[in-house]
Amino acid sequence: MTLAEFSPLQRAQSTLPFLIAALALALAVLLPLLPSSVVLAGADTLFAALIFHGALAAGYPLLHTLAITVLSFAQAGIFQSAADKAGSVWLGLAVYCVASAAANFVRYRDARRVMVLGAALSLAQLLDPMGALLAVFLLPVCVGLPRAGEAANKAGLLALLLFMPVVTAIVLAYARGVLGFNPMQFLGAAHRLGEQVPLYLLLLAGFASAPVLWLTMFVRVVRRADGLIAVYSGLIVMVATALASLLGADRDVASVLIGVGAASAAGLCAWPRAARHADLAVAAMALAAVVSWLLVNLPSAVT
Amino acid sequence: MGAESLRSSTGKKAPLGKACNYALPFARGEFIVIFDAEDRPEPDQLRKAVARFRSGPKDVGCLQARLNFYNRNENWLTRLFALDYALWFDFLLPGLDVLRVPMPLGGTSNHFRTDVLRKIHGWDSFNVTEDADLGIRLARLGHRATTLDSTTFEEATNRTGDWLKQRSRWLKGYMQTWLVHMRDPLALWRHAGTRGFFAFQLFIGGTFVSSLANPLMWLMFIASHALGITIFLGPFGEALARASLFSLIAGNVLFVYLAMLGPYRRGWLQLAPYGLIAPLYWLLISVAAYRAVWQLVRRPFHWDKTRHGVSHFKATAA
Repeated sequence: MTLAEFSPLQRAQSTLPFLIAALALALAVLLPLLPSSVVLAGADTLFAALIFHGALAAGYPLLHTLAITVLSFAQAGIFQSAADKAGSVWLGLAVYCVASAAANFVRYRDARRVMVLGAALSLAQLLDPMGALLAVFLLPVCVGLPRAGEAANKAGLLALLLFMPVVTAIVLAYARGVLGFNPMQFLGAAHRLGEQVPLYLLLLAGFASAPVLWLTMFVRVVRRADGLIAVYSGLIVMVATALASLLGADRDVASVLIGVGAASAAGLCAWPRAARHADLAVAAMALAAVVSWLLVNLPSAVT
Repeated sequence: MGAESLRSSTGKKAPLGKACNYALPFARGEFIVIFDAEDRPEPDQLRKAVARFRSGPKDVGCLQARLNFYNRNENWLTRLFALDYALWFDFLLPGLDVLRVPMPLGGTSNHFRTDVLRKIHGWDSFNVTEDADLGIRLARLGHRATTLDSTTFEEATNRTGDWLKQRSRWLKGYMQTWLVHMRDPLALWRHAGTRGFFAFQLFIGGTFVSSLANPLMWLMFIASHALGITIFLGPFGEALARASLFSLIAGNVLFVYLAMLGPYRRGWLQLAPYGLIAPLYWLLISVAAYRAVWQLVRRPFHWDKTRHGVSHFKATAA
């Protein structure tokens, strides 16, 4: 397929690598020089731009796209992390980039999407420790999904997809272990712990705050393999946070809400014939926002 | 359809361009195509080429079909060779096409408009990669070469010695092409445009320069890290060492990844893991590059003929 044969939708989606590359470049060059408030504002802006771009490329009308972007940020987890109150906006960015790149890979499975998914998984490791978990649990599922007419060589595909994340992991380990250099120190906003909650509340938060993900899973007209991958990304964050909580690590309800919120935004962008379901998408996102705020206040209400 | 055979008397070790120029005046058709004897083009390639010429812009003087190998799975060398070709013909050349910059043609499956070929006076009879030179000349004379989405399967050289001879000739030809066109750099800049000029430096000049420089870089890396010799760092010392190390690692990692990605488009994913040993293949290319420099000085127009018909694989495997 030549560039001229790309549909406008595909062409719009193909610009994602450049946005991700711009973020990586900013991380590498600008972060050490900027005050943390500016870095955070930059991350918020980039996150909003990515969601806006993704929704527009999916085919939502402009007004609905704006509403989806605003409502994504109105969700408790993303709002609090964007304002540097709880959690980390970098986690949201990492989950969104990985979920949307994985969804695009599953849908198109071309070389460009292979590179984008590898880059997103590498970037996610730089942004949040959850990035490594996403790579480990997401890739086998992406590779394993069957595709009509594709010659099966899962090992070769897995090697190709794992290459960039593995190289990043090695470089990060070398930087931290040998050089004593941690790139995350430049991110400005470390994960701010929200309220520590019992495991059942953590899981409740995850399940209840995900109406978009439930729709993507169970409503036939918006269900598609690429959307399910976004759902799976959210589930990975949820389960990993629950396990970390079980093992006594400092993980809180904010992580779950951020992960689910970001995966929801990516899931919406993978809905087929998005323009037809624009009202449903906005309504689901609004519901997710309301529920997430209820859940944020639930721990104090329970205790 | 009648076929007529023409035997050129230019000699076995003379460049191919000479033989092609000998045959050009006898050509009668509207289009000309160059194939090697062992080539297996996809059955509809000629129809596709004619359709593209008829429907496409008139400034397109040449269509370059994609090349790859029917015996790619024969041994490690043919696998790496196939990765090399996949990256070049499936990714880089279409990229040059999109950028509309001069495209070095591959040695076979070049489809030409006969009138354009005559207008630019055919091939360079003395260049041992007359195809690469022709691609640049087409661009300089106001025509365009573009890619054709059809594959010709060839026989990959499967022995290291044969491969070295073939690669040396290609690199020698690239050196000749660069030297010829850089006799007047300003004229090249004017004819090819700024983008074309830099693409020429990168894809013609860069090809042999990087092959020559690669082992030197590795030697310096080994000398500084294993033996502690840092004399070549000069006054910049530590900073230069770190920047160089970053470039070495990042550059190699990037190109290994691209080599692995090369066969993706064709679904030949079983080849992807072989990309991990591509740095060894690049060292072989460097050996060929130094051999090419030697030949450029001693035997500039000598044509090292590639042996074919030695593969155990049948052409039908394509």
